[in-house]
Amino acid sequence: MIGYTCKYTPAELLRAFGGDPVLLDGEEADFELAESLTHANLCCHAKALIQQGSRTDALIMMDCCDSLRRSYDVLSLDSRHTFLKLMDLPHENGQCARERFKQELLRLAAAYGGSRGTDFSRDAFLVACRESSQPLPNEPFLAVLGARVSPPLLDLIQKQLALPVVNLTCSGNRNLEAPPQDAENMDFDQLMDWYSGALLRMIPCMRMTSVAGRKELTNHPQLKGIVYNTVKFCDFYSFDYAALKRETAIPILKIESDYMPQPSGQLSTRLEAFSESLLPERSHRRTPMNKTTERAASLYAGIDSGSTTTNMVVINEKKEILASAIVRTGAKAQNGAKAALEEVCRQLSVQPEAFAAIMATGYGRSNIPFATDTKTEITCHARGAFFLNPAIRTIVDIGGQDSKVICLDENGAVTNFIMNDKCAAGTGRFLEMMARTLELDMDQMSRQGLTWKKDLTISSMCTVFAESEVISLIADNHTDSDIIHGLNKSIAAKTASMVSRAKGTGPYMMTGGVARNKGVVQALEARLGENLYITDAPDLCGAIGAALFALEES
Amino acid sequence: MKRYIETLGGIIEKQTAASPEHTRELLEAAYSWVRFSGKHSHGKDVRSAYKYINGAVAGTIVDSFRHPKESVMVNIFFPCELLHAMKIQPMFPEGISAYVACTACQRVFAEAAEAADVPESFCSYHKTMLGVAEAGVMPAPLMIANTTLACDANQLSFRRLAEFYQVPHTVIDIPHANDEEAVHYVADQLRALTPQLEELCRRRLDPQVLRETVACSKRTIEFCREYLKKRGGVSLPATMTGELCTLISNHVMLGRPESERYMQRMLRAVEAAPAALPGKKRIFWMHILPNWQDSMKDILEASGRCELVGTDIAADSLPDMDPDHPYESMARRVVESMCNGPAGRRIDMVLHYAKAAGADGVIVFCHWGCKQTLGLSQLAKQRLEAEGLPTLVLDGDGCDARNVADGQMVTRVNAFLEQLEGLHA
Repeated sequence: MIGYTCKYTPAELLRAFGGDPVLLDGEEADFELAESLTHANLCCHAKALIQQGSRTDALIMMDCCDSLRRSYDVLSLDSRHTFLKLMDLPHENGQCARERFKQELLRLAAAYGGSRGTDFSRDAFLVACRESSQPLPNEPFLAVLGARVSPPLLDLIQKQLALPVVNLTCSGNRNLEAPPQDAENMDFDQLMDWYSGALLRMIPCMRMTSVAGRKELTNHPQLKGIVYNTVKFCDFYSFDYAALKRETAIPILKIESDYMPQPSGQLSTRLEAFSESLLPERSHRRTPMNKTTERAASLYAGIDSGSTTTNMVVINEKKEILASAIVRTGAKAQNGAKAALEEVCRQLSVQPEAFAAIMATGYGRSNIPFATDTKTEITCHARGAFFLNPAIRTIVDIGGQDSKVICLDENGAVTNFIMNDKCAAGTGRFLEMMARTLELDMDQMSRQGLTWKKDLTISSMCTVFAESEVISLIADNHTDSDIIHGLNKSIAAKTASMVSRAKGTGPYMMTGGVARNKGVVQALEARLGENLYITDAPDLCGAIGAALFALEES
Repeated sequence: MKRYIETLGGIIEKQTAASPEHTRELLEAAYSWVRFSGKHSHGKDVRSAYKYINGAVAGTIVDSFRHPKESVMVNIFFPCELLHAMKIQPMFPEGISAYVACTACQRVFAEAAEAADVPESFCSYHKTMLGVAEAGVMPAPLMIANTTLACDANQLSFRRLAEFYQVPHTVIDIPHANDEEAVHYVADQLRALTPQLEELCRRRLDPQVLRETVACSKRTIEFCREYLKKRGGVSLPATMTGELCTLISNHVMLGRPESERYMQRMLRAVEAAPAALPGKKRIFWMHILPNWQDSMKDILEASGRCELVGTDIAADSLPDMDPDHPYESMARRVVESMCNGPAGRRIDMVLHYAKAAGADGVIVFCHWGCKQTLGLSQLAKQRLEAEGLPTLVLDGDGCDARNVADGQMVTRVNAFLEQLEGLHA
């Protein structure tokens, strides 16, 4: 086999010499080797490739991006490869570029044929060219677009979504045009002349100068939704996503991956919520996990299992809130859920069997044994917010480990949402860490953030860097209040940026535990230029939405 | 950073969203003052020369803001002799990002770009320039022309800016290979750009003026080579801003008389400089410099413990320019840049320059988002140390304080100096 990584790789030419090109796209458990040879902030696919390339005898790479150029530089120091080549890939598709690329193909043919001791097989080449075309489905489908996606991640996406999923990422949409009819009669030079043009005419990836041809990916009439993948430290596809978001009405979910095994919780939440928003009538109804046979008809509950607290709300058929509980989640989601259930049962003097339906939401929703169904917190927050105040168009939810922005239409349906990635900046955890550094509790953080005198700015986005900045400010004798105000502004800036990316508009509602922090609220209101609607119990919005779904869907 | 600059930056940050035109006026006023100050800097020392070229660069920014329809937006590696010969102003937004960072108002633009889906991991120079443009501060140029060198960010930022401004856009594709075929490939693209420029600015390129412009570049490069030859034996009070201005002078400003005059002054300054001071560690810097960062200035410019003796990208390509073959000369300069091709070429050049400058150690600056430099940092460290040059790989950001752990950087650079002092004690 010969490993390759870019769709512009002349795989058909390699097969014509008896080669077996294999796409190197796997995940790695860690990047210890790659980071020791390069840098932690190199594109995660490039780091995975360095590690996989160092275990591969033969490898062909394209001059496709800065990270892969440097990956080649690193791999070329490894003398174990029997074949290793970097091809110069033009950014253009003009006549001069095609001629340059043809010369590269001729050089590759000489080098690869020489290394294998095989001759070019015209038949194998033409068969390979004809086989490389993969037509899109004629039934409704979803596409994964953007940067390459690892097989385990693609598998997870396919399992979570209700429609067939097609991989149209930068390494997955390799549609080579069919060879010309007289290809059998062309000499090798003429064949390479055609092949050079055919490769450069494929639907372009984002490193090419003209990307107009990418519209073909999203113009298919059966395309019903897009999961847009970006790879950590690969910048190309965030730009494509920004343009696509402006230009298409097709629903899009943006995710970020890093070529390491994904923690499935948050990603599953996003995919499920996306699926719910695409096909509400066919949303992921789960088989009740522990449906009791004899339930009373009057009580419906929603339980929101978050990273810090588990919140539960009970309503009746008139949608009146009868009881609620907010308890610490603790180490296991089911323990927190059990405590919340016991608390509402105590308030209502009923047994757990009294509930007609219990809808679970939040990151721990799948681990609540007494829930009758699950729904993501995105959909539940939207439902809860619309119930509490139908005027709301954007929800800002800042919880312990997640921050989210959810946009609603006039009917309360989710039109867009975004969540923070694997980063604590802008979440409740960030505030908790900073409170620990300042040796304050969260109530003190909330109060003292309002009495600032000096308008300090915490410039670091990273939680770890911000902590060291706070330590420096403490050493410089700045007051706690001024430092807290700087931290509040930092969270507000991060959140306002998310609102802007989601194209959120007022009126705004803030939910989640951080909505209790008056300093953060004030800083966010200043950034958004508008007051936030906050209920007396901002933690309960998701649970209220879940309870409403329990009532409506039971 | 001086208090009045912080005050100006604060005003700009607060009112940019509401009034980008006012921000542009404030920046123009500030950079006009830098230009005025540079014009009247007549001293023979190196700091006066820096002040002079800083003024010339700031003046070019002001002119491109005031006359955007006489300006073409370019990246820093674009060979601009064509523009100079046609009296077109280069508008170079990467340089504008560096100036904005030194005006203490970069944050508002970087945040605006991120809010518009520019990834956080993207090069901060490009992120900032997108923010400056999309906030409405940087006016729409006549057209945009960029090379694919030196990094992928060009392909993304300038395409986005062309869509934002709705102006014509040309990309000069620079092959990875460094050979005559590549030189002709690039020269042909530059030749094809000429009629496009003529049509847009409605005047003809005079071939004789182009030859004279390339002849000016040739003289400047020769002065620069001579300066570098003599730099090794002397001590100069170099600054990070000065090195960055040299970078701009040797790229977008090359072919202009100010650039030639500057290198001539630098050559005179180096000829008059005292011999290298024993005990003062000589640091060669790889990649761009965080000249906004006071803590780094304190160490590198004011501590008296060390001296910056050079920067690789300020002299990444100093080929023989032939005025009779202007297009090939411009193309050769880009193709032969050490930033093009494999990492080994750049590391070889760094080794050559660092040794010629009498460096005691090298700092490889890993600018946030620069995959080229991040990717070669460990290769450079291994190779340079094998050649007897202690090397520090330093993470930081050339213009965005949000990506910097200042205290960590200070500790690392000081520890590196202590290491060098220990070695040469």
